[in-house]
Amino acid sequence: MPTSFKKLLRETKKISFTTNEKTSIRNTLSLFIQKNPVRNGLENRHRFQIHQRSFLTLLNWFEPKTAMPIILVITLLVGATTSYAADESLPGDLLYPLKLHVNEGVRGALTLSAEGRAEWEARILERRLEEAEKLALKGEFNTETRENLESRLEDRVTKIQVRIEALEEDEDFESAADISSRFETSLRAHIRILEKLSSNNPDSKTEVDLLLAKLKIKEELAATARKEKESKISSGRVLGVRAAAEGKLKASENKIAEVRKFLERTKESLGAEATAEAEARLKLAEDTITQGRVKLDAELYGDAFVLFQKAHRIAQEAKLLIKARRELEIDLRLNGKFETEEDDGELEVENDDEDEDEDIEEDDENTPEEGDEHPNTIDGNEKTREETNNGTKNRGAIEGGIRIDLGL
Amino acid sequence: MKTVNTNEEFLKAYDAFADAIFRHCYFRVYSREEAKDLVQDTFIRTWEYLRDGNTIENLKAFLYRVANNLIIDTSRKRKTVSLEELTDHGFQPQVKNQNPIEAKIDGEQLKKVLEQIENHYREVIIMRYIDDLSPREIAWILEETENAISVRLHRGLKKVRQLLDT
Repeated sequence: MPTSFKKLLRETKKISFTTNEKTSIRNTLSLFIQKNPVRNGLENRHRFQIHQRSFLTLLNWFEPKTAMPIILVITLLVGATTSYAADESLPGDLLYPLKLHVNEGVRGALTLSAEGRAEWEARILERRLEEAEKLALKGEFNTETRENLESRLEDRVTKIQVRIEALEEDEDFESAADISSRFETSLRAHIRILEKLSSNNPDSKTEVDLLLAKLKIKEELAATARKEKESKISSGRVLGVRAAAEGKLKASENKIAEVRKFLERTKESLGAEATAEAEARLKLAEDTITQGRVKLDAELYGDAFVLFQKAHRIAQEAKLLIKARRELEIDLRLNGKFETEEDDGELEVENDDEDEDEDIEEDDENTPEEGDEHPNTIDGNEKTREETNNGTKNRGAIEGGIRIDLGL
Repeated sequence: MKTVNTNEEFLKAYDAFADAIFRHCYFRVYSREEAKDLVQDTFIRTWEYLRDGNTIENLKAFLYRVANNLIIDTSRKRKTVSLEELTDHGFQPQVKNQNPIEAKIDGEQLKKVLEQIENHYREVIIMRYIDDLSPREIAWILEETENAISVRLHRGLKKVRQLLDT
């Protein structure tokens, strides 16, 4: 929003009723309601609500078809603004609406910056795709689920695009390019995962393939958009390209280091093949950075920026793939034998989001150590309480980690 | 259920929301007198709705919706063509920044800018930035999807910005 607009808005607050004006209308109103009483039997009940921020009304508003009573009970028990239990839920689960409207709604509302919001929107998209993957793995990805998912994705993609446009309007071309890039990466990574799932899970194959077709189209569009944003930067129309390139260099180096550390920690549960793949990607990212440095030295800052961003993308993709492999591996084993580990899975996902929250690039404070814990839950031992409470950007949302075993 | 005196509750609601509704109406119709009438009308009609036995889940949003509908009706009934209608039909009045002192009168500047954009942008901008309604609430009030509202806001702001830059 332009600042002059904001100034004008402040002026508007001065416009209001004079006390006299307000009282005189009130009196008229008072007479009127006395002369027009409510029909018999209804005058003593709550007919409307003045205060709106209660959780109950939120639900009322958005998802009238949910099993209301049970959700009310849950809310009362939890007493927090997000429900951990809901966070792992999948479409079709009882708590799924909570996940959508409370966890994601609250989280979105608590994010203040335009860039942060765009990041969060991108994260939500990823969550939808993750859910699809888990369902596909279980063989529960059917037509209805797919169609719901597709329409949600449409919405989400539009939102992301609007936000990207808004960032451009604000002349924050860097962030616009970043989010664009992230969006594209998410799509690519998940397309890969889904392709694999499709070939390994014949039950879900038809539906997954349909989904894939749509996603591929989106990915192409995203790639085109991203290139366009990048060209804006590299064509030098943006002031401070040099700073942007240097910042991006740092960010991508941090990213690679972060993913390396992550890989180190999770190697054991990952398997040789996946580890090798990840290593190869990271090497590629590093090579790309080297290329970028060459451009940087040659003072071709725009080109350098593009290359560093590419390196960042590659590293990010590697990370997403590692995560996905782990989570799906975990699910694979869960479906078979170790049911009890499911509880631990909840905590992991919660940190997952925190993790992404910290993932905002160009952040000097974002040392790879913090906020990137990823408890190794299969071994069950490495998660620590500290790590759970780390990175609490959304303080309002975390009230001491109350979990509910519904035994449903 | 707790016994509640609906009459009292309603008057409390008036106390809570009348200023905001007034402000909204003012920036839509540009006349204090009209705005006052609209506020009164809005509350009276809302009461009639309740009197007839209905329940309202979100009173604030309901009031805005009633007000919005009344505003639209008013501009249709006007015999002289209002500026609002003109801009709806694509007429762009050239308003130069005249006497800068004059322009400092409360809300004058913004009024000028708002007068120049189309109604469907104006209404969402007022609701979002003057009334502080959320996009979801606005979507409910105007019976549109949240998406459509986001896009409208975005485009509306673009226009405002263009106008402010000239």
